[in-house]
Amino acid sequence: MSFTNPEIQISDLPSFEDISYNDLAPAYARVNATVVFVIDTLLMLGLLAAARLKFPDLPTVLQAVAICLALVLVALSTVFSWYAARAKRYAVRKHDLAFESGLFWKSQTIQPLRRVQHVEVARGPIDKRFGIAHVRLFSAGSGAASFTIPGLLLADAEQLREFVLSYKDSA
Amino acid sequence: MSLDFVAPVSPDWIRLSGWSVLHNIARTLTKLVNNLVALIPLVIGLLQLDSMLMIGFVVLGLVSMIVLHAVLTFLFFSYRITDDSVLVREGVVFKKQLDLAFIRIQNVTFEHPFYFRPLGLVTVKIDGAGSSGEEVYLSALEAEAAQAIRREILARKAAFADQLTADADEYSIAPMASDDQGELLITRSLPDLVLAGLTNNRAWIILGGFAAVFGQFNDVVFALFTSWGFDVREIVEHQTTGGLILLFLSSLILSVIIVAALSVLGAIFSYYDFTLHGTSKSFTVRRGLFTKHEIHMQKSRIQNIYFRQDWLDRVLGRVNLIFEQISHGASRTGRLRQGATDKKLLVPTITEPQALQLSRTVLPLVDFEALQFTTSSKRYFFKKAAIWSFVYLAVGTSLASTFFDQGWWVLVLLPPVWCLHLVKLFVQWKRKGIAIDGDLAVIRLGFIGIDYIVIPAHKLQIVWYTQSLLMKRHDLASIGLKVASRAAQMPFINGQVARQVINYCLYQTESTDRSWM
Repeated sequence: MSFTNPEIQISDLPSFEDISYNDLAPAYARVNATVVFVIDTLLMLGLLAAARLKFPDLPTVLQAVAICLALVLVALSTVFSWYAARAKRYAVRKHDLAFESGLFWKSQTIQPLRRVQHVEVARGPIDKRFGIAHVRLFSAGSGAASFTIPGLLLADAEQLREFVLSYKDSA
Repeated sequence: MSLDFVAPVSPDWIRLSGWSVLHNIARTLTKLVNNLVALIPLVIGLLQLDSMLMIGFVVLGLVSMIVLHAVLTFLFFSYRITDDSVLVREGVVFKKQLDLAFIRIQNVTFEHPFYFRPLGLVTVKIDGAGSSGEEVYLSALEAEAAQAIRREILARKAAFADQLTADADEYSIAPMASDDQGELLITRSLPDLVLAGLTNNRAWIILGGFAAVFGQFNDVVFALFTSWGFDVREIVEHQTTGGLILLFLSSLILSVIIVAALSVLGAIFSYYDFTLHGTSKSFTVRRGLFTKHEIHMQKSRIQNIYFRQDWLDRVLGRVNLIFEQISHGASRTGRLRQGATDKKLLVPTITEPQALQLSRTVLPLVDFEALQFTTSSKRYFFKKAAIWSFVYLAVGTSLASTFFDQGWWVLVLLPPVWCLHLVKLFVQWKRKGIAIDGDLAVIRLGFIGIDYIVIPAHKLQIVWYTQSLLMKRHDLASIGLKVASRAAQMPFINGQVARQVINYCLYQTESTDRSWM
């Protein structure tokens, strides 16, 4: 095995911290918040109903407190999911895709295009309704999709897929 | 290389030799042993039957079902080797045709199980690089035929790789068309294997899940003891506290001895007569007492090298060297599924110089002492310590309040355990470090034994960089490097170093054409 070790100025390397990220489609945050709102509301209604059956003669004050608490929880999680969705951003570089997420724990994941085994544009029924799609990139070593960019406009998603595929062909 | 026997490329579907029925039976039995939990109700059911005659009938029925299944599997199994793939037809009720293209074949492994050894037959196991279900067993082949199939597959694979990438680099092709297995690199003697058994628990090879079974079914065990005339509850209840502790200690020591003995046996079963040969392109391992395994691994397929050292290894100055290939069970935390042993090549209990020497035939690794490790911030230890202290506090108070009167033992036992755990967390935190040397990222971890994960940066699949708001304020970050075999994480290091490592690793992966396969 021939091995060379040329000196590289680390500071001259392209740095991922300079990436300027793109926002996802505005519809994504709306869809996300709506879904969370609906699910949480149903969950809370179920919980309240169960509590009512279990403790039928709870004082009215406590009932009111429980309902208020449920309302606050639903509101908080809806608002949180809205901001969490808005915090998700992506970037396309010549040799890789980057994805940023997280409000309190910010995480950046970078997928070199050379390692992509296949690409998938996926849409659920709700995504379809709002004209958005997910792009999933699969690399080796794990069964599940390792890198997903959610909430792109369908046209953008398909363009991204073409870009990834064309990189594979050129490489 | 002799070419005077039948060429393995076959226009017609070929059936295996009738002896492959033995292999089918063995596989069914292995599956049964591996699923002992599922068998428990059956065994209990059998024990409930009164007449020996009935038990005999049931056992006979089971045996004939296994044999019938093996015969049918053999009758409905045929294979064919075409120009570009291995085709397999199988299935008695549900027909299945598997098309395993040569380029996707990862390993060709020979097994010489004890039941084939008098006959001189070989089982060839072919692993695909795709989903985990892609494995083909061609059993009961003549040794020459097996060699011919392996040669054919490897030669065709190399030819394909040539065709696909005309300008492919030296890493992606491993022709291995010849039978030259290269020079003998290392062997393991019986004392070495005893050490391997003692330092690493291999009892599970023999136990195969007994522990889990007994954990779940201790009522059954109680019932068994009772039926033999012991009343376990009675014995336990009539002991003084001192007697109980003595009983506990002696049974603990006894079980440690039993597990250690089983572990040594397990190590001898799997690693007996271990030899490792190597050419510039590949390794060949032979090992095993009852079933002789012969494993070929292309060096270019190695995704990372893992130096694993348990505490006893450290005391004895030994290390286990593991070459890891693409794995489908690797999670983000990097834990590997047990049993996926063929994807890994383990050289048990060698000295560190030996391990480094073997590693250097694959990657240009320097001595670990020569590396500058960037360590984890003390805030990582504080975070871990705080989380665990909270757990101990919560568990302690709830236990103490539950056992109200006899709560004193919680107060006596828990603080020392807590302190020891904090010491362990401290040592583990101190140990964590990452170093970059040329193309290699080396991550150091461990408690008493020191582990090293060596990752060639140009084989990375994905990288990540994470920080919380609090970490950002102190410019700390956690990073993750994922190769096809495992993911390695380095928590809470200096943010600038973290960004440099990520940028440098991405540069290594993206700037060259070097293949990761």
